[in-house]
Amino acid sequence: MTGINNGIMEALELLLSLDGEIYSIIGLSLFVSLSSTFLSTFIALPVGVYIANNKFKGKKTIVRIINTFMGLPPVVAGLIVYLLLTRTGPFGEYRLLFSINAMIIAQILIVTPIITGLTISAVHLKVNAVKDTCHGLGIGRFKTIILLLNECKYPIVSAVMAGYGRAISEVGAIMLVGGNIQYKTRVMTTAIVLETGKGNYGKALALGITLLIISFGINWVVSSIQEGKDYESRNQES
Amino acid sequence: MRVEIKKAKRVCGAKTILDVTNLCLESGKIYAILGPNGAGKTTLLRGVAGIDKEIDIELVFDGFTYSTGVHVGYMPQSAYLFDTTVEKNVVLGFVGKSEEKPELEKLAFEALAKVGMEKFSKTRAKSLSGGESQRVALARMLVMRKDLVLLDEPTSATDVVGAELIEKYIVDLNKRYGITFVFSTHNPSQAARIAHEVIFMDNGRINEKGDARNVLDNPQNQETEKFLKNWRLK
Repeated sequence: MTGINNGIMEALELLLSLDGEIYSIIGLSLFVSLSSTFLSTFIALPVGVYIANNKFKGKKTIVRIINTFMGLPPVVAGLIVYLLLTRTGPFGEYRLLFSINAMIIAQILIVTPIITGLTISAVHLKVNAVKDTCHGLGIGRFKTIILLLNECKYPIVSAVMAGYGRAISEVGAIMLVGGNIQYKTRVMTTAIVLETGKGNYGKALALGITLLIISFGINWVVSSIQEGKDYESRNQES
Repeated sequence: MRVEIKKAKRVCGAKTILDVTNLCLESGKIYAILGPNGAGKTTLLRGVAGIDKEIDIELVFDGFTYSTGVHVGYMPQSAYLFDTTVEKNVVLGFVGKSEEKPELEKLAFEALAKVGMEKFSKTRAKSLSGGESQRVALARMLVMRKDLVLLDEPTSATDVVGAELIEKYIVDLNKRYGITFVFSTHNPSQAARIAHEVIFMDNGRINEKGDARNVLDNPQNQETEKFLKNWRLK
């Protein structure tokens, strides 16, 4: 217990002393995770809505593939991106390996299926009711899609948050393609692995605590949005 | 608007679930589609509305042929209200500019008053009960003033008072604007109260069609007779 207590004390000291390296690691983690989540959402949202909204040949197979990729092991994603970006790989000439961009690409590969799969589930629940209602009222295709997205906004936000959660907590892929290079590609999760291995429990715990605080903050924001909506409904009702 | 359903056919595997030919719906009339569960009432309405694309359908609207019902309003049996206020739900079908907002609010209020829901105009639609939602959905449908309105069991979730208001509203709009209504129902009494004509369906086919009183009092078809027997006993 003494070791853990000492670690927590050291972690708090590091955080409160505004340690430059710690904060650069935190900053890079947030940048990589937010960028990959944003880009994944940009890809996953239209794809998810399209798949849920349309009937076409092979739809079931595509959904099953997406669902399989939702559980893609990060190291496998990392390996795929590594092989693609390595000097001898098809994109080797762009020299992206061991860079922030490589880390973002690897995370996109992990996060996109998660957001797509959850978006398909969210939209699938409402799509028939919304489409039938809009068609019956003579509402056009574009407005129908907007209304559908509005109806699914809370589960879609949850899908994006789930994707972000996966991105910020992921270690295997970014370790492989980022290389955990100090001041360049080191993020919280890879730093925790490294510092724990070196016996620097204080530093590892400081980063662990920060990760937990960030997760808690994100959950707080999402829950507040949803609770705010419920509160609004109750107020309107009374 | 006169509508002629030249053909409406849907086959599911080896089973034909809808097979209707040459059904004429005269302008300004109220039609009730009666029939047991699985008779094809909803399938026919969805076909005319152009929602079910798997139905092979040919429609003639006032002499013009369409494959789907482009001039038709349709209200599904399970009323779906959007996550906004009741008032905004009612005028959802209108492309509203900001200066038209007061007019739309007035329109919504009047439509809601017709179904006894005006006091809920500022309420979040998701907080309404099933019956209340159905009344709002009907107000939303009827405010659009379509030439032909298809209603799939429009009072299935409402109480007696709600059903009465809805029936009155349908009759009123039919008389005032000559809107043609086609509604499906399990309730012959409702058909007797408001329909000009009754269409009796079974196994995806039309067994009988004619003046509401005639069909309900003297059905010529055995299946219709069987369906109406229990109703008469009551």
